[in-house]
Amino acid sequence: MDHSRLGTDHMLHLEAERLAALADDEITAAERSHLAVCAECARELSAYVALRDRAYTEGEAGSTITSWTRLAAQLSAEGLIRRTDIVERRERSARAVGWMQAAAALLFVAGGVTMGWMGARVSASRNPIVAGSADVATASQGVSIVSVGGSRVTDTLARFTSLVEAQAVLTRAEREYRQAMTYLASNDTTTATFRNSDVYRARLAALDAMAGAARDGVNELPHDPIMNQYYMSTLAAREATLRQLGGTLPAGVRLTRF
Amino acid sequence: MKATIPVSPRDQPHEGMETDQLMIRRAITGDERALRHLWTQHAPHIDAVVRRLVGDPDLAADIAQDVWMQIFRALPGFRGEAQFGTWAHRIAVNRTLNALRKSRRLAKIETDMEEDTAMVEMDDEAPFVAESIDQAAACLPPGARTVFFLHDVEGYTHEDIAAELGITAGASKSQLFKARAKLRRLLAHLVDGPQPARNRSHVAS
Repeated sequence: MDHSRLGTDHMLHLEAERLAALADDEITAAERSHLAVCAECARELSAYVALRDRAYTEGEAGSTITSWTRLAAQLSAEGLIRRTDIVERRERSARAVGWMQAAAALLFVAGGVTMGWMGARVSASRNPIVAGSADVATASQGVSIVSVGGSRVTDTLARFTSLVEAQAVLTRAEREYRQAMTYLASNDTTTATFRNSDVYRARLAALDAMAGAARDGVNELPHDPIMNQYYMSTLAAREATLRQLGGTLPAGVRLTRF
Repeated sequence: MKATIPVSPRDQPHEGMETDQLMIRRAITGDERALRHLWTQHAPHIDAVVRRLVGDPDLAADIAQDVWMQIFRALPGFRGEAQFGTWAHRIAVNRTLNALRKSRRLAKIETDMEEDTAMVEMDDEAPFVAESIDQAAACLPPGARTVFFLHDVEGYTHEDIAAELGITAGASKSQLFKARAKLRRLLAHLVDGPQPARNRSHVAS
């Protein structure tokens, strides 16, 4: 503290901390008398009052130092938040992408099986155990060659003239695909690898995961035919795998592709 | 957690109270938008309380995060006897002081302030006065800064502060007046009248 005297008035002033206290303490008579004649102490007291007032009035101003992103993550981790806004829609969208990827994989497999079954069906006259009643290729047809049991046979590729026609064929093919899967599961004796139950168990686990994803898709879009087809196809494949896992596989059937 | 600090005089009824009540009901169910609304509405004040009491920016950010989590965790127990802002403010102060105790930043509450430690560069052109007060307060020892903010910014009494900090009311006053004396020098550009302060001598009060 500076205890030097002021130039001409030789007056002792109030302590700084006392002036700071006087911003809200009661003033004694002696202090009041001093402040009445000492402009500098009065000015100092005004400064302390101004400081106190500014601290209070400006106290509300301030920017946030927390982040909602960080808070939301922790709230989510503790199960305190139910994501209902755009974040949830984004997450749902991401799940849909994952589901579509699973569905695309299933389509690839199912397409392979269907084509294989159709190829086998064309050669039904040479392999009576693969018997199908439906004639898929009722529309105008293209021609392709597939290999069945090591031999080249002619296959039909459907071309359509209307959406209704294509949808009807798709529905029928789907139904027949499931029937064929069940049949093949009960009769296919393709390779020794498939006799290994571990393979079927692994496939079953994968199909369970795919069925779960497909079920989510159906729940989200219950009237969408594509979603339902994927779901039903997955269930059919699962049922077929279960049959195969049962190990009752008579000889005499060759599956061209699976 | 102690609940000795009373309602801050700052927490007066406001127009958003009904909205708060609605949002609180939804927030308790985990509604993200409601939780975020409460945070958006009250974070400027709650975060400022934490920042000013703590001083250190990094530590303040961590404690403020913890404060908000505690607020949201405790939401189901909010009965509406007080306003949400008051209730959240109490949690913020108590949680922050507890954190400071753990980090021993209040250990020197009874010690005298060091003279002119860590002088800061003051910016006369600073557009926000509160920032300058915060800057100046950062020069104060932790205990004095805590007392200054609780009393002059948050409006608590010395008795309340004493009860919360485990000191006497006299010690709280002493810390406050020393803090003000130092801040008055650091913030002269804000609080001085037309004439500059001069060297002074003193009389006993």
